[in-house]
Amino acid sequence: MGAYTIEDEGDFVVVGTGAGGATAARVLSAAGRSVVLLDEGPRLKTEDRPRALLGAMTSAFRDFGTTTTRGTSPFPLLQGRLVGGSTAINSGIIWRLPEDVRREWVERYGLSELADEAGLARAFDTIERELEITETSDEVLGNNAALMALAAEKLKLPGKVISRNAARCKGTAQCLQGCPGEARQSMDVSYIPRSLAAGARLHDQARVDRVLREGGRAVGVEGELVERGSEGRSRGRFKIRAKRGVIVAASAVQTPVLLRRSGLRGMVGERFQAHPGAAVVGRFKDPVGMGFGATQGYEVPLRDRFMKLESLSMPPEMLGARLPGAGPAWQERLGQLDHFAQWCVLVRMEAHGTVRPTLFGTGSDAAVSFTPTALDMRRLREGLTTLCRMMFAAGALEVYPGIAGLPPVLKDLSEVALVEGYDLKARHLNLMASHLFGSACAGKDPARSVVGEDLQAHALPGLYVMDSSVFPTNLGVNPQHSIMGVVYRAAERLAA
Amino acid sequence: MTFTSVERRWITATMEAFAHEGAPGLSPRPGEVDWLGTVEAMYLASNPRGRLGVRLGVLFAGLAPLWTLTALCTLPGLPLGRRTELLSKLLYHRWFAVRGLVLLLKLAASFALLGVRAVRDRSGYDRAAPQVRKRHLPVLTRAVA
Repeated sequence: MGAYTIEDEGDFVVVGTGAGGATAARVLSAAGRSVVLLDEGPRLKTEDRPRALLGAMTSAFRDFGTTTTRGTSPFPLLQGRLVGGSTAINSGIIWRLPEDVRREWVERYGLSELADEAGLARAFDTIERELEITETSDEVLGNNAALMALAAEKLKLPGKVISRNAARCKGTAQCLQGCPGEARQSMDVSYIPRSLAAGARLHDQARVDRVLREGGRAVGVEGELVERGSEGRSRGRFKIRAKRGVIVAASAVQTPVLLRRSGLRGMVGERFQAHPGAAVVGRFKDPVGMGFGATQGYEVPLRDRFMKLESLSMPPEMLGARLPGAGPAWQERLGQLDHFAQWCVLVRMEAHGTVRPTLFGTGSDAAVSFTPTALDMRRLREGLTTLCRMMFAAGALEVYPGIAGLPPVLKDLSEVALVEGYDLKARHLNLMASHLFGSACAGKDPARSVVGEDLQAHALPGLYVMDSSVFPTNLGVNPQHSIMGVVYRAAERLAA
Repeated sequence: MTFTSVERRWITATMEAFAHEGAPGLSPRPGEVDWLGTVEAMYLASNPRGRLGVRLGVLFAGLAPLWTLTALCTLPGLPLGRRTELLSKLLYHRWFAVRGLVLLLKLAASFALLGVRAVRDRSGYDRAAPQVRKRHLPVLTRAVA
């Protein structure tokens, strides 16, 4: 046996099997290109995915959700690490690239081809047809979402039922653990199998360590075959050669790490953006039954206020941790676990951060710096205030704002003024983020961007980035569909 | 072994103080919940920073009676009620690090407790039937805008 346990070759090697990588593979393999897909995580069959949250998170979440930002108030960045990437753990929410964002990309960043209106619309149409995009039906909306709709209606907020890639949803509220009936068309049950059927090959538990170069061009990748879990014990090394291009689609955190480990510098890892958020829980007299319904069924998009409110049904283990108190006071609430609703606010933050490889780490270990600005925190406070008001409007008996320094339990609407008037800092909240952007951004100017309009790296021909890293701004909406639309078009051009 | 014998005692003392056996509401039955196994599984699945956080959380909790000037003993030396009282205070401590790391232990307690099918069933989380919900909570209008 040689130095490598696995050696393979294709027209294209695709690093990462989430929304970006899987879409690239789907387009390229359908066009007759040979594609080799790599993912650091395992390929899990739906029936093998644990239903209890401990097993679900240890098997499918990157580092059990312990990848956090640096600084005095770190918060977790939740990402999937399995074939399908974060699409295999998210709620399948679908939003087209908002028109104001598209226009900004064209007018401010000169991305007229990448963000071409008609081209994107055609890509979105195709994806929506293939992934069975539809509004969440009344039958599976669930009361967590229905209560939010009631509150939005009472407070005259512009709410809507969420569109998802789960037309056949049965309302098991198990998106996070992997949809038991494979109704959600995450990449592991849609574009990956489709690509494999078209001839693509997949190597899972294969962590790429660097991009290979020859003659000033990207010609492949090499890395370690790793065991499950974060121990990362090696099962050997692999090398994949790419005749036409290397596509990195490993997320806005892992992509810049790989690019930097491969010698790229400049703007790589700069301009990192996110939609951090926090949740509010309310207790109701009548059962809510969070265990039934779409994980996320209703939303209140407030684009002009840079925030979006969403219903968010959580498994009991996570909901339980969110309830106030310890001992008997906590256990009293746990005994009524069907009486709670939970909604969250995500803020389109203006803050920019950085992503770097860790100093002594290996592979995909990342150091992410990100600190919300004062304006971001004011927006977050406004969102939390609105959520508290909505909870009482929907009939909550008590509301848990989850803000340190304030009473853990708000007993009536008048107490929401405490939230509204609070000098809120990031350290007062348990923030988290799963929408991550911009660490290898696209642009015309090589001094101010990493890739061009064709998503090819300015500094290394043959290397393409196809995930949310290339977005020059964050979106204010869930990013999966925008990633897929942008990548779909770029991959089509590459296949031609 | 992942944790030292001292850490294991502190973890058990912390977890039992979060969820008392026989308390009103949702309580574990003797031997029903694997506290240590859950914390260990979380620890092993975490990255180096996450592991450090778990160890620091256990240290903060274990030594809390001393550094909060509550008593001259470690956490297992306190009666159960006082342990719970102390942890409740730490969950709202003014230092972010203390709050966050003790919350991590509470998260572990919640994972351990509600990860047991029988306990989950007793919590009522999965109890509501669609017919009950519809009667009490009318299905609402669609998009407002």
